[in-house]
Amino acid sequence: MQIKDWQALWQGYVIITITGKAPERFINLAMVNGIFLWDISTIDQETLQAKVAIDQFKRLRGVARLSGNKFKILKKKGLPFALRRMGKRKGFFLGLAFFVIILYFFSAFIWFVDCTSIEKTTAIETQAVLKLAADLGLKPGVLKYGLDIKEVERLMEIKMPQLAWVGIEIEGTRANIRLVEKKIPDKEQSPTGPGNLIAIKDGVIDEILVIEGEGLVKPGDTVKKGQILISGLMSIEAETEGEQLGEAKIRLVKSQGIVKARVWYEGVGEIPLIEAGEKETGKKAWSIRLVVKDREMNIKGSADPPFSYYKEKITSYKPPKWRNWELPVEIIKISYLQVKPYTTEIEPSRAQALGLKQARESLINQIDPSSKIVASWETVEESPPGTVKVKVIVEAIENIAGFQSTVAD
Amino acid sequence: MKKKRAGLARRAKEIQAGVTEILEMPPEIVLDLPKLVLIGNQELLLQNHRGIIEYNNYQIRVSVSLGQITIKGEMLLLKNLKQDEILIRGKIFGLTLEE
Repeated sequence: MQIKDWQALWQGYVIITITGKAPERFINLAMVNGIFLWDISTIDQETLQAKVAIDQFKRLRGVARLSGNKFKILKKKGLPFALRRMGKRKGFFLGLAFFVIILYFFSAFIWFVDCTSIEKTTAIETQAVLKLAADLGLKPGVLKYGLDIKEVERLMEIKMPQLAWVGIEIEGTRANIRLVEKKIPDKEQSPTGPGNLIAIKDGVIDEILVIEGEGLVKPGDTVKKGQILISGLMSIEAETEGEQLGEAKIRLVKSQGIVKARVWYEGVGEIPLIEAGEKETGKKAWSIRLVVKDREMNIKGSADPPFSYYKEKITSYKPPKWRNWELPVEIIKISYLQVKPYTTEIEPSRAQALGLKQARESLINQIDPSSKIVASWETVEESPPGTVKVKVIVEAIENIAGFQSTVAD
Repeated sequence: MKKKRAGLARRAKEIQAGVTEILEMPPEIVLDLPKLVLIGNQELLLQNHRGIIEYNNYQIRVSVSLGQITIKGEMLLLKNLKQDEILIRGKIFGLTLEE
């Protein structure tokens, strides 16, 4: 359909039939009078059919009289006639318009308010959140446009301090409040009651300093993990020697002190003497494919990878998303890079150096930075054949005392 | 005397045609000639006409300054009809110009 035809429909036109001895005369006369006729066709020898715009239609009467032909309206087309027909069925179209207006009107309100927490938590009650939102103006039946969402979000964050973030989304007539809850760290339980200091690691005691409590070990002792180093059970008699033995009393204290001990760490590094891997050869191939939902179609390039050993790299091009909706169409480019498997032998001395490095790295993760390293040994062995195993043992002095409460929780 | 005048008129026409050619002006405007644009055998645009003499399915005769143009064909349709141009659609097989 051409633009001209749309224009004709907009303005409205009539299809007429012209009958008479010489319908050509009618056409010529119309033309001379500046009446535009189009789509003229013959029906039979004395009848023609033509289209004419409604604003020029009236002037055809004079033309017909002068040319001695008759014309009749066959059909009325276009918007003006359609509107007139609509006018006859007023009720229906009024109802339709009313329906659309009502629909539009009601869609301007919020009818549902939901609340979801992004991380599932139970600490905040949904009811409380909804009530707060309602107090701030976000409740069912409220007009969408009068609502300042940013302001409601801000006030909610202020009024509910346990919320870290509030996001309100309005989708149609539904408002969704999304929450992120603040994580309040547990109060650190600083021990207050009586307790012992125990060894948290195996070691040999190097130095012991008792501040409170009763020291049970002395330098040179070997201690096992979990062994009591400084006891919170103090017999008073130990403090005041002048008293009699029979009146020995026991006092519970929160033991304090520093127990430094020698501890050993072990780091192991294992390096195989034969290294296997893949190396790119530099040969490349590619394929461009169209993916519609689950189906793939090769558009250009090689459909199957031309190499027996290869790595593939996939880049995808998707059409831009529109809101949450996206076209299930995607163009992907697959690059195939040919690779060649290879094996290299490593010299034992280099393997040893690598193993040492690996072992040291694993040690760094184990040892606390506050401990003091006193000595270290390295041993090299070729234990599983084909690999070099390097073991590094480090001796360090550190505080191994850890508090353990004697009061049952 | 009459003969001389006819000769003068012819002479004037010749001069006019010469001037048109030198100035490269479109002859259909200056000389009031019909211009026909034929697209394949399906559409004919005819400008500078002087009215339709005959019209039916298989033949259209149009009056022009030179005389008469007859278009023969099948299922001929007058797509547009304006004071200075006619657009004919259909299957055209013949086009004759009579003086």
